Amino acid sequence: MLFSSPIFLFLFLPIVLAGYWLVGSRLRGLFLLGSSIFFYAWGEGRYVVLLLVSIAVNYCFGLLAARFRNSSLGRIVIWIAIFANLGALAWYKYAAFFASNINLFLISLGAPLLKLQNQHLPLGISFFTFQAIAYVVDVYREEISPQKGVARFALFMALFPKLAAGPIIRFDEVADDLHGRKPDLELFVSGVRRFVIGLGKKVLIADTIAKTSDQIFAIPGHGLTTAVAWLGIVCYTLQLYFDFSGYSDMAIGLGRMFGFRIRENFNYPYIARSLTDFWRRWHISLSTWFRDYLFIPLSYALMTETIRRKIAEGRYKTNYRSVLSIFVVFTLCGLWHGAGYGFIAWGMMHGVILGIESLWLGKTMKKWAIPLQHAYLLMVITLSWVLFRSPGVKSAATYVKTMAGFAGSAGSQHSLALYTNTELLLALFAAIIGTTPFAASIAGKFNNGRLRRFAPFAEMVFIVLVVLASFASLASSTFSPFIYQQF
Amino acid sequence: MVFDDADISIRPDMTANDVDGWDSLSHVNLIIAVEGRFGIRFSQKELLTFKNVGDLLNCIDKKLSER
Repeated sequence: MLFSSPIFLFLFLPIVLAGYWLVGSRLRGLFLLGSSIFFYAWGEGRYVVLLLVSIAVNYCFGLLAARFRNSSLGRIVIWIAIFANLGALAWYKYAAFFASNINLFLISLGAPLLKLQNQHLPLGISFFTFQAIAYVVDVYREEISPQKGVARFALFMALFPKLAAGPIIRFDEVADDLHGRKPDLELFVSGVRRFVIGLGKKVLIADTIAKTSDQIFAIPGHGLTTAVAWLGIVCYTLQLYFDFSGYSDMAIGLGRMFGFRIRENFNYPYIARSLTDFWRRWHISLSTWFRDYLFIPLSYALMTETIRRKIAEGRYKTNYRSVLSIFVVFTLCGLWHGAGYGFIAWGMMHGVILGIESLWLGKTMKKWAIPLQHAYLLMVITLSWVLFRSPGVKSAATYVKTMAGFAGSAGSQHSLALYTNTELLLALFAAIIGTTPFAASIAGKFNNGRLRRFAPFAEMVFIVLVVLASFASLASSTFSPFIYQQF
Repeated sequence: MVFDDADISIRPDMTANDVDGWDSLSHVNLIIAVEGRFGIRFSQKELLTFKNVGDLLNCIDKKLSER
């Protein structure tokens, strides 16, 4: 059930919201849990069993991790929990990919091949397994106490606003909200507002731009021209941000309507001035997950006594092992997005550039003119999205070649005018404004300026207009899932 | 020197966001340097509970007084 589908907007959400605030406060959690399970089963059918098993197993891991915190068994519990969660993810998401790679090897040996069909990817599995790992590790690290109430833990795992594609919430983030949910009108209203803005981002901007980027990426490599290739990747760059940040706004907004305060997932990533900066602003719940549960433990584990001594004596200026960790972490981050070489190459590219920035480029760049720093980041990120979007590394290479001016022979048949129209240009204009804090700063000035008594009215008009435009657009549009729900 | 800044001044309530160049990578360097300088070792558990400079200082103090 998509957040932007009529059945969700006009049936599921109103019924669940009304029910949630009408039942007594003691039943609220159970009601929301039941609704979340129903939400999952609606789209995923029998895979709801997988979600329930994951909840049950990780609930036990949490208790065990607390019980054996200070004994050697604790580490064993942690490793089993990590393997169990990643094992489920590997089976559903990567089995076919791994098998096809092993088969390449088996073919050369003439051995019989592995027969593995592509599994159905259960909704949200990439997100809830990571959430579960963080929970169990946090319990072991004594950052949080284990949740003893099964229903509360189940709600933490299954909460429908963040079930499909995150944000990957941490337990401490919602621990208080899991306990007491008193009606808070201000929080509720801010949730509605946030949800509407997310809906507009998805339906009015991302889906409009997607029409063009989908068309352009469907052109076979030799048919592209340089200008069309650039239009395609600029469109995709904006589409991806508005699709995913729109989804995140809706998730955060829905969370607030039910009294849950979920942390921000984006902070204007495209105004970053380095790739390092970008990763503090893009998909924050994932980047901090990788930092806390992979990067830090890994680079700490790689330190030998000799290196420690050198660092302490100031003789080890560059920490190459941490740079290596960065590369490993981002390669895996690429793989997390999907079983394919394009994603792996995308992750490696990010790892290499982040490594270079940390070795010397980052310091050099600080001396550059600020517009140049922005241009650098936009260039890097746009090029990397080609790998992210293309069906494979080879087609990505052709695409980049075309962008650089080495177009294929039959290029002339696709002119730029074929792909541009007023609707697209309007959406692109709004999108570019929306990637900067410009609108927020105008709103801030309005709220504090001479016309401030009109501010609430203006805001309401804006929200209503976004709702009406989104509904009108939904009525005529076809099914268009969120990009990150497929990861 | 982890941050290449001789004039850096820190306060207990400062976090990584307040210091230029304090990212995940230099954080690891900082922790290792602190460990070497004071001859202490943080556990993996302690490592991630530092929310600001004050937390780090308290943990160092605790470790030193335990010796």
